[in-house]
Amino acid sequence: MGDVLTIDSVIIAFREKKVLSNIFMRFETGSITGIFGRNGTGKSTLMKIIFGTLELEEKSIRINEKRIQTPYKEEGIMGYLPQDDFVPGHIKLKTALNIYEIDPEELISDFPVFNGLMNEKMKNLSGGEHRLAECYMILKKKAKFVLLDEPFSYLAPLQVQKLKEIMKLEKSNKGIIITDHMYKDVQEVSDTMYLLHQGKSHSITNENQLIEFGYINRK
Amino acid sequence: MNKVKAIFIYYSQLFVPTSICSLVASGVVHSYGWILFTIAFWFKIITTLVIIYFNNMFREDEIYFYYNRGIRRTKLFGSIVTIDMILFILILILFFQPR
Repeated sequence: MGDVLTIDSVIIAFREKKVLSNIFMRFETGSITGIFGRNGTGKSTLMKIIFGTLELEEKSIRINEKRIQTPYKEEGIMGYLPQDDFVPGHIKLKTALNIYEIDPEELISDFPVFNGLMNEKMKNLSGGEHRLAECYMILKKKAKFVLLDEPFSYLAPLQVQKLKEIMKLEKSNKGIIITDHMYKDVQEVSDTMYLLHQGKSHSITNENQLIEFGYINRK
Repeated sequence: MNKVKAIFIYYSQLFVPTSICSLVASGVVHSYGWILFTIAFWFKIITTLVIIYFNNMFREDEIYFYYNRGIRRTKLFGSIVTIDMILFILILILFFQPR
């Protein structure tokens, strides 16, 4: 039986404006969950809350109904791809992969663009290569759940396509939570979807609901 | 083992400024005697913490590289201070080696 991650009772405000106030989300291993929302609706904030680095007094995160305060502090529970680069620029790509216990050959086999780049420092990679390597490291990490904040940024269409294939394979052993403005791509891989709107989470089952909430325009 | 490597990766970013502080502190003790050791010791602790603070401020997102490996902030920074103080003591010993 898979693991279930539940989050609710989240209240967070910035400058007295409630960003998140009524959240209920459920994530399962074996599935991909897409989170949509306009800029400033709290998607990245929510990811940091789930990961545990943004500590709140009012929140409830449970894994299999067992309350967990800071998931990132526990080994093998969670991985998180932040929006910005997180791998130190002065280390080589192969060193970064080694620290995360990822076989460089596996990365090259999935993305031949990395052939010959293993000895390059991270800061010398292009924006797309950097993002792709980081996303791969988190996606392949041994964890029950991984949170991907804008994984498709800077990536070429073919790389996005390949990454989606890897996500579909990886979901067999973990739960993947993803947010990105390339909503078509997120929708394509997601088994369940949520939209953040006015501080609340809404379960989404079809594209029309995204239109109703004003996230996308009617065609 | 990979966690230890990750900690040394963090320390490598601070190696130059912390080593300069170690050399200054060791030089002071060497020049003015052991009576200033306590001051030099606290100078080292404080400057290392300040360097960690600024490094963390300017490379805010890099902390996730360590978090994702299960290395907590306290463990990371505690290890850095420990490594740095060991290096400081070694430099101090070198300063007092008979020529």
